[in-house]
Amino acid sequence: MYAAIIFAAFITSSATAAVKLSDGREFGISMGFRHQVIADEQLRQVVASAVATIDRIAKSPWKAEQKLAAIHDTYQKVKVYRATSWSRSPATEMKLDMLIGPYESFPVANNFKKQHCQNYYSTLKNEWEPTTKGVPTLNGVSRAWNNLRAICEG
Amino acid sequence: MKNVILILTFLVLITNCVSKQPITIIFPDQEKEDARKPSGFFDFFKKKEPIVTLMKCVNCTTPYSEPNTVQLETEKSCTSDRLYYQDRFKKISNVYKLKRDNFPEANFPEGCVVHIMRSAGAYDTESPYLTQCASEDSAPIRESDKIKAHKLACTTSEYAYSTYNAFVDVMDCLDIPQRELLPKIWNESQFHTNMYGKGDDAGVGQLTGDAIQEVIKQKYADHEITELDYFKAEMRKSNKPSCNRILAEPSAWKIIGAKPATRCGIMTPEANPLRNILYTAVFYRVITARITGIYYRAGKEYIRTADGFIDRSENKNAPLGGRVKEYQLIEKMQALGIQNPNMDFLKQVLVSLAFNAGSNQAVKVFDNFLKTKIANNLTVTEAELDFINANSLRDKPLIDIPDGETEEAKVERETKLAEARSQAFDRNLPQFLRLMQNGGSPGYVSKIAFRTTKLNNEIGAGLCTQPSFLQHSLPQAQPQQ
Repeated sequence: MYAAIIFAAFITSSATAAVKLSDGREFGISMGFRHQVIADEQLRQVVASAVATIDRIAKSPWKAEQKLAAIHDTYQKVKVYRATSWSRSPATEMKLDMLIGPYESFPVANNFKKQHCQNYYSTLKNEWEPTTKGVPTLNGVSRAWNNLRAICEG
Repeated sequence: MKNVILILTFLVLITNCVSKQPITIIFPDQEKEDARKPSGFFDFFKKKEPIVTLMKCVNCTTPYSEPNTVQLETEKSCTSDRLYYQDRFKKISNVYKLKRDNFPEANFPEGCVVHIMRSAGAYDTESPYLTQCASEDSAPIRESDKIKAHKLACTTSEYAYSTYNAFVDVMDCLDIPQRELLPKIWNESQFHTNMYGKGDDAGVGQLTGDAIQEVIKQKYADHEITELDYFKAEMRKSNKPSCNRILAEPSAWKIIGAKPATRCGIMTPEANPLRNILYTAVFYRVITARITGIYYRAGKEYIRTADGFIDRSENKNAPLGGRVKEYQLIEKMQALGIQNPNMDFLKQVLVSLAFNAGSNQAVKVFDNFLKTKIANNLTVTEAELDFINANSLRDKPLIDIPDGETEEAKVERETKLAEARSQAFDRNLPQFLRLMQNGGSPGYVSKIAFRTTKLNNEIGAGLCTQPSFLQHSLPQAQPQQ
């Protein structure tokens, strides 16, 4: 069930990442790395999707292990998308790093456990929170962190 | 009563003359007398003692030393309010506190460390950053309404050699280029064990709680072994004399808590400065492994690959792993026209930045530099990667917050800053990092480059610095801070 919710939030971004954009912007293999240059608004939408997904996971009636697995799955998708979707503007890249950064700190583990989740939240708290002061962030991001904390500690 | 005071005064003067302690004179023909005036009542009775000259230099004059000469201070040449740790320095083991006549591991002179220590100021006035610890298990005592700050601890032979010997031993044992960290430490603590920053960053390495946590954390999730334990075990395998000397100092290996309440554990002598320098080097190794995939095993560096380990001493430019590989930084540099990326340069920049801004931020900001160049169809030259020569100051006025800035001026500055950030793809790497570094001190790597050039200019080119440090190629010139 949780997989369906994740896909509802991510189907758009995953599909977008898999095809060439309609306006002709490049996407593919270049010097061994995959990337597409996309508009800032698209990147922001992906972040908003991630935030919404975490919201839904937190509010779901699932067991703690299922929630952790869903968070891990979400992270993996965000990570892949973020790594291959670039902006021309360094300012946008910087903001997105602040927003998605904690996802990238998420440990890649075969068996995603409560301890990993707690490590993740701790990283997030140390590395993300202090750097966002005065920087405009997307609505709902701080709520997402609270949800995450509840999931990790739950 | 008057007569008694006169007799006592006479006795003190006589005792001082008779009990003059012999000291180590490195160059007896260069002995000079310190012209310093006493600051306390009892300082008046101190017998002036020859100070010790370590080396001549290009342009390195510091207070109370001969022009262009690096000199140690002595217990008797320092005022009493600078001797607050001297008794503890004297308790440090002879292996560390005495000058070593035979020290083949050292590849830079002690004068480099002493010059950095003596450039810290606070000879005649107190610094709020210089603190004192009551014990190892306490918090450093900061300046307050009731407590006075401290002056610079007297750079005696015991203090200087316990710092220099510990630094060289730890760097040699852990296979860290000895001169690579000198400019960084100048920029941080200036090698003073009681330097305590506003962010609770402590001692020689200015270690924060997060940095200490990296050292004492479990190396493997399901094992009790800490990072410190791991390095101890690997050092045992090395058979290096430097490692053996560190292993023979049990106090260096004590686990120190990461909370500020116990920060003195990595500050107070006699266990420090050795313990602090050991923690600093382990922290360096932990973040280096994370960022570059370079691991320490039995005294040497290896790069972990899918097929095993590559000995870095046999292949210095073997492609890095870790986050460098994960973020495909080498491929991105090649896409931008740097055909043969310099692995040492990558390691130096990323690890230097990680010390200040964290591992994740260091890699991300460097990655963003490369990505936004590629996204804008630009190329990069080696000159744009040169922290020693390139001008990094272009956007500094937008980043530095002026004293007394009005709300109107702030809005104007921040608007210009946002515009500069959106256009930062046209900056060189030092400019980009200053503008886009998120967290820590903007321009941190450029500040280390500045200290590198300062060392070259003040002590002599190449004596205290790593060749081509923070340069993708080899030219030398003057960086701006």
